[in-house]
Amino acid sequence: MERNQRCPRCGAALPEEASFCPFCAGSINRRTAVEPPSLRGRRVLRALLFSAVLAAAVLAVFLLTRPRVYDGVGEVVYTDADGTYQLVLALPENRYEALAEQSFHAAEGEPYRVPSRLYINHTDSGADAGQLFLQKVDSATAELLPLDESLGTVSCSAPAPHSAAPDAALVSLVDFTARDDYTAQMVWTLHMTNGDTIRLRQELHVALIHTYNYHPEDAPMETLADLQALVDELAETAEPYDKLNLFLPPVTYEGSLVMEERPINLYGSEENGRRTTFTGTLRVASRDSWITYIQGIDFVGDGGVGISASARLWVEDCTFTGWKTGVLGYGDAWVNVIGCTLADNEIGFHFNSEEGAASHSMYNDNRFVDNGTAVLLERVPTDLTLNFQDSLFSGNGTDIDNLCRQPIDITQAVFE
Amino acid sequence: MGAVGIYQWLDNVLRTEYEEVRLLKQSGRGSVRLIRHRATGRRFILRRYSGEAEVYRKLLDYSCPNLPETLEVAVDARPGEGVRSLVLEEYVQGDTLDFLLREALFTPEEVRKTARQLCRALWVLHSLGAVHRDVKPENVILRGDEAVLIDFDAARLHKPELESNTQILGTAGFAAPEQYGLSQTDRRADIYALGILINVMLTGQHPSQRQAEGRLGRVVERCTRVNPARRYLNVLRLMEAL
Repeated sequence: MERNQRCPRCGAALPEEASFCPFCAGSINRRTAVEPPSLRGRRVLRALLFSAVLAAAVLAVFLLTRPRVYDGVGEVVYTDADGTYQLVLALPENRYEALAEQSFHAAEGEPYRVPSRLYINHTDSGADAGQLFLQKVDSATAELLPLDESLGTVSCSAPAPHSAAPDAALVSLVDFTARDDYTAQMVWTLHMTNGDTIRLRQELHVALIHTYNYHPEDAPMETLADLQALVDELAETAEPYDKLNLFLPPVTYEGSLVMEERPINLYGSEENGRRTTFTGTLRVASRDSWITYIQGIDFVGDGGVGISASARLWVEDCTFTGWKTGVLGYGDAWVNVIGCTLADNEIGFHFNSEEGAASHSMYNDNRFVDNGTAVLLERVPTDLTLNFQDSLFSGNGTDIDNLCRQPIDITQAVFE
Repeated sequence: MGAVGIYQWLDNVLRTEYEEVRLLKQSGRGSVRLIRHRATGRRFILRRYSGEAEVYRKLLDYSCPNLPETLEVAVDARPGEGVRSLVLEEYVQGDTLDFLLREALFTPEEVRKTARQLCRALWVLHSLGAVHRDVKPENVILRGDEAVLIDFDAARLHKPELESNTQILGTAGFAAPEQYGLSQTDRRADIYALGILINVMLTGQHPSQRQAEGRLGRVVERCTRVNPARRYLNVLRLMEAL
C-alpha cells in the first residue's frame, strides 16, 4: 500500500484517499459548509444577480480593451506558452464535441436539475488537460442571463468538480422550473492567472409538457369500440411529451381495452348510482417510463385479469371483483394500488415484475375482502418497503403471500 | 492504492489506536459502535456493515450543523465476497427527541425551530441525491440548540432512468417530476415523515389519532397527504411554511 500524503498535524503517513487521520483523530479533508438558500430572499438574489450581471458587463468592457479575451459558443481554443487547449461544454459520451445548446422537457412548476460540464483537452494529443489547466485558472464562474419570471425560474451553481461527471474539469448544476417554453443563456467565465478571460456560452431550451383533457363531449367514448379508437388515434397523433387524460362517462364497457403505445390516463365518473365499469381486461403496455393513472373505475370480471400491466401503473379508487387476478404487474412494471376495493377474486393484486424503477411505496386505504389470495408478491423490483397503511384484509384465504420476501409494512394495516 | 487497501489499513489502525466504549446496535447487516481514541479520549461512531456507502461518501465533503460529520469511509469490494463498508462518524452528544418526548411535549416555537433545522439537514441530503428514509424521533439528537439528524443506514442514493437526450442528473431532490419516476415521491417521503414528527412533538400522537391544530396543524396536514404530489414540493417550501 502506498502512503503518499502526510497528516498536516502529526505527520503520520496516510493513504492518498484518506479524509481523516486516525492517529491524531483529526479531519484532513476540506469541507464545504452547506446552507439551504432562502426562498424569501429571491428578490434580493435577483437584485444581486442583476448587479452581478451589470458588474460583469462593466468588467467585460474593461477586458475588451485588453488583448486576450476569448468568447465562444460551446467551445474555445486557448493557446499559451505551454500549449493549445480545447475548452468545451460537452456530454460525457463525447468530450470533444461542443454542445451549443441543451433541450429539456419539463412539467409546469416542477423543479429540475441538470449539469453543464466543462471538459479541457490538449488539442494535439486529445488527452485530458483538466487538472493541469485548472492550475492556470484564478477563478471560474457561471451565470444565467436574467429570464422573464412569468416563464419560469433558472439558476446555476458555482463551477466545481463533481462526482457525477468525474472526467469533467468543472461542473455547474442548473436548477430550473418552467411555466412556459423558454430559452436562457448560460455563460461560463474563467479568469486566468495571467489576466486572460475565457467565456463559453450555452443555450438552455425548456419546453413545457402540455396536458390535454378529453371529456365525452369532446370525443366519442360511449362504447368500447369508440374508446379503443380514441386511444389508438391519440397514440398516433399526440406529441411524445403530451400528458393525456380521458374523463369517461358512467357507462359499462364490454370487452377488453388495449393501451400499448403510450400512457393515457383514464378517470371514471359516477351518475345516478352508475359508475364507469369495465367487464374485460384493461391491458397497459406503454413503451415509455411515464406512469399510467387509472382512477374511479369498477372492473367486474368473470375470471381472467382485471388490469394487466407491463408498464408503470397507478390505480386509485377502483374496484375489482370476480377476477382470477384483479390487478397484475409484470415485465418491468411498477404498480401502485391505492384506495381500491378488491373482493371475491382468486388473487386480488399480483406483483410479478422482474425489472423497473419504483414509483411509490404506498398501498394504503385498500379493502381486500373474500379473495383466495389478497396480495401475491412473487417478484418485486427494488427492495423498497411496501406500506399497506390503513388497508383492510378480511375473509381472504391468504392475506399476503410474500413469496419473494419483499419488505412490507403492515403495522398500520387492519386484519379481521 | 485500491479500495481494499484503505479498508484494511483503517481497520488495523482503528483496532490499535482506538478502544470500544460500547456496542450501540447490531443487526444482520452490521454493527454500530461507540469507540474512543486512546491518545486523546475523543469519541466517535464506527459503523461496520455489508453494502455500499455512497451516501456517507458524499457527505465526506460537506459540513452542516444539523448532520453528524462523516469523517472517513472505507469500502472493501472483493470479487465474489460482496461489499463491506467502514464508516467513521462524529459522535453527537445529546438526548434523542424520542427520550425527551417521554417527559413532555414541545411548544410550537420549539417545534418550528427544530423542524427548520431538520429541513436544513434534509436539504443537504436531498441536494446530494439522497433521501434519509427513516426520519423519526429516535434519529434526532438535540445538541444544545441544534437538532442533528442521525443514522443514514436506510438512506439511499437514487438513480432514476437516465434519458440520453436530456441528461437529467438523477437526484431525489430535483431530478424528475412524478411522471418520470421515483425521485419526487421518495424525497416527499422524508417530508411525510417530518410531518408526522412535527405532529408527535406537538401532540405526542400520530396525526391519524390526533392532529395538531392551528398553523402547524395545517403544515402537518400538507406534509402527510397520501398523494405525494400534493405535499410540499421540497424541504425549502416546507421551511418557508414553517
